[in-house]
Amino acid sequence: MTPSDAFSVRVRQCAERIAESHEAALAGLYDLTALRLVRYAVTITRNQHDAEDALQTSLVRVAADPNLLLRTEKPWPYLLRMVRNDSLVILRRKKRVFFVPNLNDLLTHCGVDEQAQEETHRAIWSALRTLPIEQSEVVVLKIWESMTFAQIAEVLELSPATAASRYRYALEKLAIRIRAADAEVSP
Amino acid sequence: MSIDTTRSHEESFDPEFVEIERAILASGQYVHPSDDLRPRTIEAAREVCRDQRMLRSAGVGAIAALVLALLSSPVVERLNHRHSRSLSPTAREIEQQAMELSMRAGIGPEWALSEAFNALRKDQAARFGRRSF
Repeated sequence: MTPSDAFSVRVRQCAERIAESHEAALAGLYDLTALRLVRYAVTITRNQHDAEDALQTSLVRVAADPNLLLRTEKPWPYLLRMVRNDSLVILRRKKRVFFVPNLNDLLTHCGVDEQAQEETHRAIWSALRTLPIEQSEVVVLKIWESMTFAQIAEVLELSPATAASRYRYALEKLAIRIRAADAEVSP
Repeated sequence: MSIDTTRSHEESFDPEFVEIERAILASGQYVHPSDDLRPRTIEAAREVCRDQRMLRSAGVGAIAALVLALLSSPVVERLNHRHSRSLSPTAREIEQQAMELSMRAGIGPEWALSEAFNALRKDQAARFGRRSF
């Protein structure tokens, strides 16, 4: 069982609880998925506020009809797709997407033992924002969601080969940009 | 180059990407949702579900009222019919009464019909008097 499939089992359990106890059980699904969904939505909307709106819209729809997740074989990829669609709707509603070069709109958190890593984290998130959305979302699904290219292809509705090639292009660009950022920090 | 599409993130295309993949993986928790998103989402879900429940119960009420109206309309119609029949006899009933009177009293049918009408008028007048006072 892949990590994505294992996570799907937990998402399904949350959806079952929502079906039994209605919206009162939504907190469980929120706690399980919010961090993952927000960071995925942020790579699409390029803005934390819009990403949170997309997440809220999707989770409210699940609370109103938990069968959306219960009917599907793989609830986690389905929920990711819901958030992706809601993020794209928000993006389309905006006439223009402004590229934000800094991370000021993001709510970041760094543990006490990770202070030394913060520069790297910032460099990575900044570099991710410079990628085209179709490449950055593949990186997020591959690395943070531990999905296979076949699973990513299912979420993004494209071929596994396309997902793989987007990932490769994205990593090549990220490697160049992160090295450049490192060189700036430590000349 | 052939690509194995089932590889997980531990397997990179190129050893040079292993380090970058690890760094990206480590920064996964760097961005997190705002503190008020949780209560906001739960409250929004509560409102939507409440509206949904109200809409559903209103729909059930409307269907119940419609079914009740459909079921009760023949009964009401029958009651109305019975009520109107009890207030004034039909022409056939008056004719029947006239025939009976004619045979019982040995008078002509025209005279019996006139007597039957007189009796009906008296009856109606008595009923009208009872209602008025």
